[in-house]
Amino acid sequence: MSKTSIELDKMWSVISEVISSGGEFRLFPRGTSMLPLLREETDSVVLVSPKDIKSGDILLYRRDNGQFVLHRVVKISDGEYFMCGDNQFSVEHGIKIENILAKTAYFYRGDDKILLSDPAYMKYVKSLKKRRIKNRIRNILSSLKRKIKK
Amino acid sequence: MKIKDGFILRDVGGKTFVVAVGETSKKFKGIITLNETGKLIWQSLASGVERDKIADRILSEYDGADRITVEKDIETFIEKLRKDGILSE
Repeated sequence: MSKTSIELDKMWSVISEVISSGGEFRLFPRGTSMLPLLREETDSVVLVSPKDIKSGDILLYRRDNGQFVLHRVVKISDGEYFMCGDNQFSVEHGIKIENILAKTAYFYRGDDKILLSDPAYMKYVKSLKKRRIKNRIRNILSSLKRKIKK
Repeated sequence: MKIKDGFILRDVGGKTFVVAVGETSKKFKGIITLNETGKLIWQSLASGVERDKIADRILSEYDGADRITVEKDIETFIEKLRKDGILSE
């Protein structure tokens, strides 16, 4: 069957039924915040019920303003989940268990199914911390350059 | 011929969607969108209505539809479902 683009807030009640039945739902996320792992319109995640969440998991959650987000957990502390996109360096605070809707059980890069136990994926997840530090330094340097130019 | 277990049909924002739930969703991921006629055929198949009776239903609901076209459309729809393994014989 062909791909259909539907607003997540309209479809969430249906997706939620699938997930709470113990099922799986394949979602093609939009945006660039999970690059280079998830490319818009090409890659997809398979969502399941958010049980046993741990640092490194990719979660679908809903911010208090209603916005749906698919980002990675970078830390869990005192019932608070610290979230960050793979292509970002600013960590989002204040996400609670009630915001969390689903977690990624595995994903597809194009048509290739990738398990979270895949060695190349695990290596990638390990490299993220360094990548975030690099991005942060690059960002500070470019904002300094802008200030100097002014 | 019937729709296999594990599929749910839902109307959301004026559109009709079918998704798989539970174990079935591990094989069928994603969403099927149906138009009005598709919804009628789906619901008929789900409740075990025979093919010619489905055509009767559609013909009674839509003025100006001719039986040959309707039967052809039903056949195409059923063939699609069969191809995707959604129908049990």
